[in-house]
Amino acid sequence: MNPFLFLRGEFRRSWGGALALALVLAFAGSLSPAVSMMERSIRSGMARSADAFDLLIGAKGSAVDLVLGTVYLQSEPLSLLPPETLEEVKAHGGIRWAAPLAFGDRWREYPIAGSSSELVTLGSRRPLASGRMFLNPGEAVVGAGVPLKEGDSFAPSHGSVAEALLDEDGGSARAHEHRFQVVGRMPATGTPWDRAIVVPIEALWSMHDGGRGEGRCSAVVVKPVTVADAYRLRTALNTDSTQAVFSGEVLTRLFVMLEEMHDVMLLLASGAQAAALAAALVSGFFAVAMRVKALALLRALGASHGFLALSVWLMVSGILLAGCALGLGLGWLMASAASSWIQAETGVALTVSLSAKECLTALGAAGCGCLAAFLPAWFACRKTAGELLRAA
Amino acid sequence: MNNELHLRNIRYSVRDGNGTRRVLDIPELDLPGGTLVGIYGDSGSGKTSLLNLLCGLILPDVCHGCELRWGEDDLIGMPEGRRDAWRGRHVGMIFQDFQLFPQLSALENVLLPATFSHVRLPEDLRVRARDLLRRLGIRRTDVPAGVFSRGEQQRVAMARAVLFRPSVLLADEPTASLDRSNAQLVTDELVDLARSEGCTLLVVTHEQVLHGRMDRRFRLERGRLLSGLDDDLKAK
Repeated sequence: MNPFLFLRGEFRRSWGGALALALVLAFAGSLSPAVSMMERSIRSGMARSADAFDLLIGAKGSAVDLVLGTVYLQSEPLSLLPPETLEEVKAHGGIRWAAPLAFGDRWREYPIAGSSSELVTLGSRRPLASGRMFLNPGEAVVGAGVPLKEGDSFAPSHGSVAEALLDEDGGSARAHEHRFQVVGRMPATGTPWDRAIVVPIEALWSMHDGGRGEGRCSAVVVKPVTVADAYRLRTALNTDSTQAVFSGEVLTRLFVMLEEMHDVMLLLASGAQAAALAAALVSGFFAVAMRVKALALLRALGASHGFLALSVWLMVSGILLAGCALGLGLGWLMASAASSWIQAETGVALTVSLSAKECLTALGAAGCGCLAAFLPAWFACRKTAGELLRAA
Repeated sequence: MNNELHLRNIRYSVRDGNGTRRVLDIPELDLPGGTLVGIYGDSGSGKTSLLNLLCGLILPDVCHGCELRWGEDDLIGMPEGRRDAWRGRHVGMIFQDFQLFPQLSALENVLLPATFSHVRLPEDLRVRARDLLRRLGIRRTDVPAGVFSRGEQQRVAMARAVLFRPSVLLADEPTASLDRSNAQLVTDELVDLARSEGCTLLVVTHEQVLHGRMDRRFRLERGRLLSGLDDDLKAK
């Protein structure tokens, strides 16, 4: 038997309803893969952003704020470290490179970080994409995503990026008199630092408080030589006034929260998908009830119970499979759109990809749906020809 | 298949409220193969039930000594699955409202019963379907059946009914919803098809013209089959 000719006619007759049902299923089925893909891409994007920041030294306070403020350039208010901190850190040894970090200024919505050449080149391990390193307090190196060319000059404004977005005049009223000239560009990293402008920290010291803040910084980024050095330094630099944190450890804590959110979202999404599958099955029963006349006609023309059951099963399963497949695609689209938005907001490059996990989940849902589709199929074929004729 | 009909002690009842209502009561009927039979009667006299019974869509009440047989094929003793296959192979059915699938083309409608038993349709069946449609004056075989006139739709339904060269043709008011000229055309084609294919034809109809082309005529009255009432038909 081959019910596809009959099904072709039925889909031609009610393609609108079938499409609407498949789209409802697709939307409900898209939430779960979208949440999973987002969680995975955020996790890997955040982890990649923290690659260069093994050990962070900051003033005593929130470790999460320290990581968000330095690694992700969020406008977290970070207390300043004592002026002698950088020298004390370097004095401990076991350090490949250490660079101070100071924040508080910006150009348009691009944060300006005062630091040293070690941070820009990751201790001479990462060459610039173009140009050269800053050599004096009037020069700057920009991230790959900053719309300034080498040779351009700009005047920084005081205040955080968040404040810049609130200023009606773009912050020009609070502009510093000091100007910087762009002399080099960092390679694209897919991290928030692509949107950063790095200037010599000495320039920031001289711009603020008439140079009275010399030696002070918000954080020190440390690249230890070995893992043992990293743990030794962390122990040594956790003092009454300073904290030393592994960015990876803080991320792990953040990831636990992310995973809990992911689980809750996944539960809600699975609920939505189960409800949509149940609705599709109920629609299957309605479809059978509405097609009693057609089914009676098929019996009159010689179709067996099996032909009717197979037709209904294929019809319901086809819609379910199409809905699940569309759901995967829609989920990928939703996750990609959300990633693009997050990337535009934070600078963290997120790569969304479909993994075997999402495909297997969708397959599982489709499999359950196809099994459940036997119910309307059985409903269609359990009636005798006489019952069908009377119902028609 | 030998297409002689033999009925013995056939009763058919349906549930009616708390009780049952006798729809058909036929003690005996024998028809030679190839006979063309007209049946008429008032509404509710059991005409459609008789056709459904003759093709095995419904079965008579359980009774001792009842018999519903086409040649050697005993429909009462046949399992339902085999009865479906038998009906598909040996019976062609034509309905008052054509009962086509309007989204399928004329050719697809004719070939639809073949999909009950074939995964891939044999080419000779396709050729026969096209030939039948051409013979019945349907030129646009790939056009959805829903766009055809009523007369054309009934001719498509007739082509579908005789695709497998059935030995039995059952028609339920085949001309009732057609205008006079289309009714005449369908009458001619139906009789010609039945004669040329050697079918036993049973037609439920109130059309005198159609009855006039039949070999025998029966009147159904409260489920009882009364034969030879030609005067009664003329009076109608």
